[in-house]
Amino acid sequence: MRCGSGLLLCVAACASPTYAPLRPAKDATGSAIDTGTEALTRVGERPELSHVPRFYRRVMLDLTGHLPDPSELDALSADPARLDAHIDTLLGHPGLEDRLVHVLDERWHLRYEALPVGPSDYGFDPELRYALARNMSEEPLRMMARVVADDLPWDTIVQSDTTMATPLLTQVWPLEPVETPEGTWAPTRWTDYRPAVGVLASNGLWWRYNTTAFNYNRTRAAAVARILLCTDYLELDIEFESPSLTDAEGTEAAIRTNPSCTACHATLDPLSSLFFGFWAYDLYDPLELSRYHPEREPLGAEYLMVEPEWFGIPVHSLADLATVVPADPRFPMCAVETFATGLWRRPLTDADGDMQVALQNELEAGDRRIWPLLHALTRTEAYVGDLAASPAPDSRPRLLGPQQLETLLAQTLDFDWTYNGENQLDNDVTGLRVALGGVDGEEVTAPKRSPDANLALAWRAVSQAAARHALQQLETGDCALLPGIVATTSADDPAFEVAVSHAWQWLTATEPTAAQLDALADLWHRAGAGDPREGWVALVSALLQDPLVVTY
Amino acid sequence: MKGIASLRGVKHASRMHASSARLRTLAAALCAVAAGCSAPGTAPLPSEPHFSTGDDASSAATDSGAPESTTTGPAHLWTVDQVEDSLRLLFVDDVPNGHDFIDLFRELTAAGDASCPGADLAFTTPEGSCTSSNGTEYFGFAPYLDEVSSASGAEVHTVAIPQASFVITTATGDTFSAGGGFIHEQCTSGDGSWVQEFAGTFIWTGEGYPWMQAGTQVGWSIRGTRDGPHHTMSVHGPIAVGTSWAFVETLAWDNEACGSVPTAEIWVRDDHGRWYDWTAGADCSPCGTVRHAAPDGTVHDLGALCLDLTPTLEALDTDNDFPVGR
Repeated sequence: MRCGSGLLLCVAACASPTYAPLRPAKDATGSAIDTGTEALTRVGERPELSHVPRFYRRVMLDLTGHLPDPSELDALSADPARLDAHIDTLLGHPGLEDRLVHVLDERWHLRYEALPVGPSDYGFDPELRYALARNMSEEPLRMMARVVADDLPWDTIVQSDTTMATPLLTQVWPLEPVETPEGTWAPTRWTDYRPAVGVLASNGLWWRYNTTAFNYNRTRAAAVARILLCTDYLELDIEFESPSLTDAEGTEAAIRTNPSCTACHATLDPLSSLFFGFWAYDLYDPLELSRYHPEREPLGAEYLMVEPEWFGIPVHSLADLATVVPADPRFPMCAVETFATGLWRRPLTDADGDMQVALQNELEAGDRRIWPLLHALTRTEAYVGDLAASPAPDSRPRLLGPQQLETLLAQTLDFDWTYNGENQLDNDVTGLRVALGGVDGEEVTAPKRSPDANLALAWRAVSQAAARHALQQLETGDCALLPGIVATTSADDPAFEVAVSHAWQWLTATEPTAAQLDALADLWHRAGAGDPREGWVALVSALLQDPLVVTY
Repeated sequence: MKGIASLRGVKHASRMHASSARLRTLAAALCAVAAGCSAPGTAPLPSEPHFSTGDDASSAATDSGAPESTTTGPAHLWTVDQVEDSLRLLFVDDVPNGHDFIDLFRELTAAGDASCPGADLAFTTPEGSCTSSNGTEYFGFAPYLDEVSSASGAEVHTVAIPQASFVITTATGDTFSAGGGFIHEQCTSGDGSWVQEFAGTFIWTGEGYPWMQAGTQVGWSIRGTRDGPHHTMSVHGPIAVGTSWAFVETLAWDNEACGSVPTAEIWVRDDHGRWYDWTAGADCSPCGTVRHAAPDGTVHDLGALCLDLTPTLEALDTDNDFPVGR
């Protein structure tokens, strides 16, 4: 049996009856994370690559969401030994923060849309729904991404008094910029005296992981365990025993005394009690929800009848988590798991244990900065995968996610598919986020790892829309993807092969073969027989759906 | 009797096409709170670096893993005078209370007309705000009720806005913002027992009601009796006005006991997040000791504090009497 969603009722018994820190039952590597001889284990050299430019395209898409420019590909082809030098430059890439928001969200599940307040609560137009939801839900993700981009230790995410916010957020939340914003997102501080515990004092986090009158922040504590420690109460192997839960008092007593319940609640409840500064008496009122409530901090001990603890370690208040969380060995281990899962595009398994230790050593050797960890991850066999000179039999390319596809289209075609103010590649109401393999943070919690009919249809829809947009550019001869082409240019024109080769190289990081060029010319002739414009629409649409484009 | 907690979790109906006044008023409300936050004892916002590296964290881990605060030594703790200042602001000078809340609500809704917000003073404006003929705008949810019902042979007078989530903007631009709820029920016979749940965030930018002008966050649960001349009352829960924060663990009063001196255990929070416990009244004296328990278990005895809260309790008792038809 497993702990179900009814943590309050605790119809489940979890693994440990003590206050000792929990470890996930599936985790075979936890005890291996230690100092001593294993501390010397580091990630080795990258396996030999079959195609360096294509591999660099993978790294760029994973870390920045962008494609390498054709000039970069040319330089790399001329001097493949400079691959790591190219990778090193990505720390300063403007796309790094945006991309990490999405990588982190695959574990944190914050970019979801059913927030407790909407635009009407602030008197905004309904068309601001998407922007408001994204601004609010991304706030903690942007903060963490900035920590990585600024090359600060990962501990900062639970120690900072600063978050990231947009001008829209500073209108509706108690925030003030700490400097003049240079862009949409800027460092910002809370003005309501909440503790300096980084993401743990974030509205974006607690609006996503909210609580109810009878849940008493347990949902929040379970979320903290899952996202900061990679310890999921719901995945613990348990023995089932059903105590009498017919009344509230019986339930409360069982939570405190029944071994089937205390196994989870003994650690969950003391952690839950720390979050009562975010306790709201009205779960949908923006005034109540937006502000931290220092005076409510003691409600935790009162409602839950426990003193606050961090997995057996007594703490005084939420502020103490700035210290005890980084000191918990599961915290850096979970950082490794989070970023490894994000870059390997698969969950970790027991077989990854040794590599996980090596990666954690890389993290510690870099003072817990994430960039050295990310660089080390690109050297692992699991990351190189099918692009190794001798790939493992089961290795295969990855699928572009919606954010990568969105960035690719913006970069190559300046295409931004927006309807009613909502990004059609990134919303769940009218858009295609989930169909394109994305995570909605609620019902879909992991990215799509293999193609299916929905994905193919979504790619087609996006590609066709992008191709129509490209046609507008071609009408004026201003299409960066197809330089030298106008809408009336024929496939028989010498400019055709030059332009299509350029597009192919940019989109795939490979040179097109003669057969591929012939196939594209043939497609153009058939689709453009009556109108050359339709030939270009078909060609661009086909290019964007090519397996070498939508995989990496 | 119903509690506010039982009403939580009820999602508002959609509030489409709301007036932009909502944003303005919320912003104004937050500004009012910010103004109330202007004079903390220490700088509330540390300077550079924007993202601390942990070197300036307020505590460090001990060998055992337990946090050891570096800012909670006695020299950094609040003095008794500072604790007293906070207590006086919250419990003596101008006490937050449901009576004021309802009074202000009635005053502002009575300024409307028959269609906005309506004769019964309650309003729900899911399709957008309404504006009365005199220019007062009502937005949100205010299911106000004032009724007498019978239960088990007893008559109970209820005054409530069980789920208050509204902004009222006067013609002169003052705003009354509320998020939370208020339920007051009192027996009109017998021992006159009464209960009150008053919880949420409340901000008023106009004249009067200073405790709401500073921005108030409350979670009070009050129980009382009025059996002829014998009155009792107990208060429990969190309270904040501006940047003064406290939690009333016990505030119990009997006008015929201890010379009407209440028993009190109140915790006061400083802007570093540390709590101070003041306990008084056990020996019928308004004096008690202020203590701070450090995370490591050390208890710092900060000295004696005498504060007679009798007038406060008497005022709360008087003000929170809601006679039928008032």
